[in-house]
Amino acid sequence: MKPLKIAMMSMTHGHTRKYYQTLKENPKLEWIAVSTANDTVKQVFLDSVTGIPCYDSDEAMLDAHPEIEAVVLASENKDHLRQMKLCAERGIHILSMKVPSFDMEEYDEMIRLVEKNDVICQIELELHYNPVVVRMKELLASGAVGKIQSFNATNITLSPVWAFPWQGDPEKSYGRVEKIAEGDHRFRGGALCDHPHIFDMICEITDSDFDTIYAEVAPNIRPDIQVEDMLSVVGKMKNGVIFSLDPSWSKMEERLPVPGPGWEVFPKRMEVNITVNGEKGSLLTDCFGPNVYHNGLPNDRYTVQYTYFDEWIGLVDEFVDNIRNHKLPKINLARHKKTIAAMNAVYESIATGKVVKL
Amino acid sequence: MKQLQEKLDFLLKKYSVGRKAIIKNENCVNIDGKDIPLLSHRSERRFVELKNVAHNGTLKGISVMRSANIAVKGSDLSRMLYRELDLCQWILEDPIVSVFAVNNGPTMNVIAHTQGGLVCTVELSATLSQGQKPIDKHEIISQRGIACDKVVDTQIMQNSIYLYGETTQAYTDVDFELYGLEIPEIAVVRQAFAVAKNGNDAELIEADHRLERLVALAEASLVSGQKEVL
Repeated sequence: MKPLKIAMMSMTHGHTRKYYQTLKENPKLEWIAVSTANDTVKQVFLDSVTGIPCYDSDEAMLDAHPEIEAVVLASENKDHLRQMKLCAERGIHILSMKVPSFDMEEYDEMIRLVEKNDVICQIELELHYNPVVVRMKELLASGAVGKIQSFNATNITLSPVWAFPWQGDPEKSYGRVEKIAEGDHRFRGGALCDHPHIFDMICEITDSDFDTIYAEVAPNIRPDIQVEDMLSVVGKMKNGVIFSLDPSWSKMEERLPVPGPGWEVFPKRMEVNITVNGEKGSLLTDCFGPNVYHNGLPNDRYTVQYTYFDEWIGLVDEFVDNIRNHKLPKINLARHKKTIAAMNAVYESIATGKVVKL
Repeated sequence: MKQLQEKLDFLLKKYSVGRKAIIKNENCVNIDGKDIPLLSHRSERRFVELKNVAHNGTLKGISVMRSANIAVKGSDLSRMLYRELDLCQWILEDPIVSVFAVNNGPTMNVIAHTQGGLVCTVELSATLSQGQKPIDKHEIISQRGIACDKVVDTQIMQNSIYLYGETTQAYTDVDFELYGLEIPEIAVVRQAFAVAKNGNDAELIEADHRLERLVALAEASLVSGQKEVL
């Protein structure tokens, strides 16, 4: 199978650097070029990777490299529709970041674009390529806890807004400027927009869809940002399974302009812990543990050194397979639309103070 | 070994590695007809991360590395010592030059000294019942911080998944490409693949010879009751 000629756009997303190693080492890929959205991310890229042509605009890159077959949209949410249009109309396949759009009309336009131009569009929900999650799914599918009664999960991290400022910009993150609630100074676009994974995973694990959602936003632990950073979500699936989801930025961080050593204040910068309770028992899952630990430089703080997880290898392998064999990606736009609708329902519940029925 | 060989073949094919590699056992891979010793612990990610932390500026002024390994009854203490001594000198990037050892039944304790003046301690025992999982711990102590492969306030490895059903079970899966293998098996496949890909046969052969000498030195120390110097 000939290598897939791939490029990246924008380089503003927090996951950008996760692709470097895979794009360089995976023999199924030939990394052709990148386009950068601004001088800051351009310099970060040039400091990290050598030998890959770097362009100042998406159009310039695509014009210079008509051989590009696929693009990773490593961009802020607000740019996704424009870039999808740019790619789809040229017949270029798309790997989108985890939130294509929160605007449902935009979302439908993305689906139309992809179908009309017959390109593959896969959404990056990398948790599916985590070996612990694979085991969890196997155990639950085998009936290890019996009929599932509740699903409780955290997707809690530090806040990326200092290194990736668009994630603290309501318009660039959520797509428009909208108050989180009447009388509240904050806007939609914060921690929730960063954490779709557990909203997707619960549907797969319970084989059901969201029925009701109730959510509350708590006082920010970072009072100086414009968007929410702490929120709690509970509700019920259509099959009766209840859930509790925590998609907060509850791990405090140093305000570094570029992620690196010493970023964490709390020892573990990211946790996805899932507890599934059923008629026959309970299953506790730490998707990113165990690890190696230290309290070394630069800040002498006890720190988790992430040790095992390479989700991007499986994710990119599947993307290539989908393109070469013209398969509908598992995490496709239509499937993911329901996840985004549930996340919008969280914001609606916060705004109204009421349960939202989906 | 069949499952390990299948996984190795998968990696060789995926990454277009042309050399023929056959895993003979957990300690040996045959590459293009030549037996190469496997130091598979060097391919365990936790040890790779400890080595990174030791040398990437996270720790400063390393003083001691402590290791402990408790295995099932009947395990070969010499082979366990071989592994732990290699981990110490490989992670520290400082060769061991002297060894003092004491033993009592299926237990052995060792203090080793590196060329650069660091101290390594190794505590070994083969005292677990059959079926119990090995317990180990590796800790590096420096002027500026400690690194360890066990989380604070715990004595045994944590797992990724705990299942509390009719029985209690635990699972840890660490490699998406080699899903289904146990961590030590993954290390064997990863190292066999690395040797086939990188061609570092000579490095492993030399390390193996040196480790055999260190283990012999420890055995000599058990007899002499004195520190033995390489």
